[in-house]
Amino acid sequence: MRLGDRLYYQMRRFRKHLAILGAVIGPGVIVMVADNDAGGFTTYMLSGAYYRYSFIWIVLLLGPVAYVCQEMTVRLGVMTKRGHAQAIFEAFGPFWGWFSLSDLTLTDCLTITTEFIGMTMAMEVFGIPPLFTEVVVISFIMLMLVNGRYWTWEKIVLAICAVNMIVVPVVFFIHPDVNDIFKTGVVPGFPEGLGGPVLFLIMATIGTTIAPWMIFFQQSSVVDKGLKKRDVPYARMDTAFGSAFTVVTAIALIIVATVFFGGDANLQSAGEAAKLLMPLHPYVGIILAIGLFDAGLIGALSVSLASSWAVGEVFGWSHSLNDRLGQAKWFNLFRLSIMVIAGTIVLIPGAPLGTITLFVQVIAVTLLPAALVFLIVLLNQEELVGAYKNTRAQNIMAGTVVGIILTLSTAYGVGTIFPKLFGG
Amino acid sequence: MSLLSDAAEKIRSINRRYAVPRIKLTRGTKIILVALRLYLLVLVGMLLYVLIATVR
Repeated sequence: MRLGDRLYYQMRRFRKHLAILGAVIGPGVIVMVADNDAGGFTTYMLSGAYYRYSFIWIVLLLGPVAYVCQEMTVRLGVMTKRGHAQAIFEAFGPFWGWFSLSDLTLTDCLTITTEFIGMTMAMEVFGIPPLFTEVVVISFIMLMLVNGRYWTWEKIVLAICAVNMIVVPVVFFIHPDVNDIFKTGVVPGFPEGLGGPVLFLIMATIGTTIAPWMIFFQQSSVVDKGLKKRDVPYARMDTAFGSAFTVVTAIALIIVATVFFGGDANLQSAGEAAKLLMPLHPYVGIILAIGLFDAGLIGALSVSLASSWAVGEVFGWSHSLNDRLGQAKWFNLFRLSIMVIAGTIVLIPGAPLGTITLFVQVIAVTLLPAALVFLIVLLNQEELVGAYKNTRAQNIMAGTVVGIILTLSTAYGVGTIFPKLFGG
Repeated sequence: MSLLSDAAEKIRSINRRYAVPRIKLTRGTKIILVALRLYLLVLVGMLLYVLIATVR
């Protein structure tokens, strides 16, 4: 075959692969970008403000770790056509099923509360009252389902995901010290050792990168989208792209926080950072507020779906995004309820919002090890996943990741309960 | 009342449907599940301890 012909066929093949990737892309990018939710924004801003660029290498490491965990949900979802909650019920029985479902629902409801805290704080920068923000957000999330098509929902969410990266261009205008970034950020090391708040912030970073709801969300999403075996390589790419986007945005947030607040250990949240920047650097403040609102919105959208899908699967309700609002009334009512409960908690005067934010992590810690262990056990069942069973290398990799996460997240949970244990 | 009894019946039917685990539980898997139960017991115990200590 002539070189020209060969190039022509290669080009056609490439375009075909690109078209399939375009169709498959969605669950992986959404779940990974939703990882940079309002809580994630605050965690990265605080790590930059407290310890400058020192956390960049941790974020770089966590990207592939999140990929390893999420890729397994793709294979399990495609092969079993079951969400993670239903798969747990079927494989391990009612005890573990109810434990996972109730823990997930409680964690999700509290996580959505933190998303609303972030969104209302971001909109307060523009003088918009919290109640108005919440009503508009909940109405928007529910109206996205009126059309009753998964594809429409996914495209809207992907557009919202693109806004999550709004902070990235800011890095090019604020002239950070690139040498310093490579010297103190990319080379592994712990600022001031591992004592005090450093360990706490490392664990918070891990907690925000790998969360239980992500496992449930992506597996249900893959099932609802109807991905098939042949789509698995593209779904893997989708997850890898999402992981890369998350890492880039997280690093951008750390850089922005370092440039404007580096060494300031008094910063409390991303919302406060946006407010503080408004008088001095209004454009950066506005961008940060928009980014924080967007992060909270993607978080609320995805987290509320994770538990609604899980409860819908187990109770046998219609739970597809392809169903119209009225067709899947219990599924939508459940989703609306957890958002209204979360929104109401934020509006209660004097509500212990700080305690809630910490409590989320503790409850999540109880679910994360179980969810990850179940994932590995299920992916070793040949009768369930056939040729997509974990290989020995995948088991070693996933087992190592689970071991590290288990140790650190347990330490985080224990550290939250007993703050003095790690010198905090 | 009917709503509550309906919900209870639904939960009972879910328990019946999933009563028998549908995967082969090897010895290793059984050990892992017992370890997970113990881990959770310790974690919940700690939470209760903190709660009681705070209330006191």
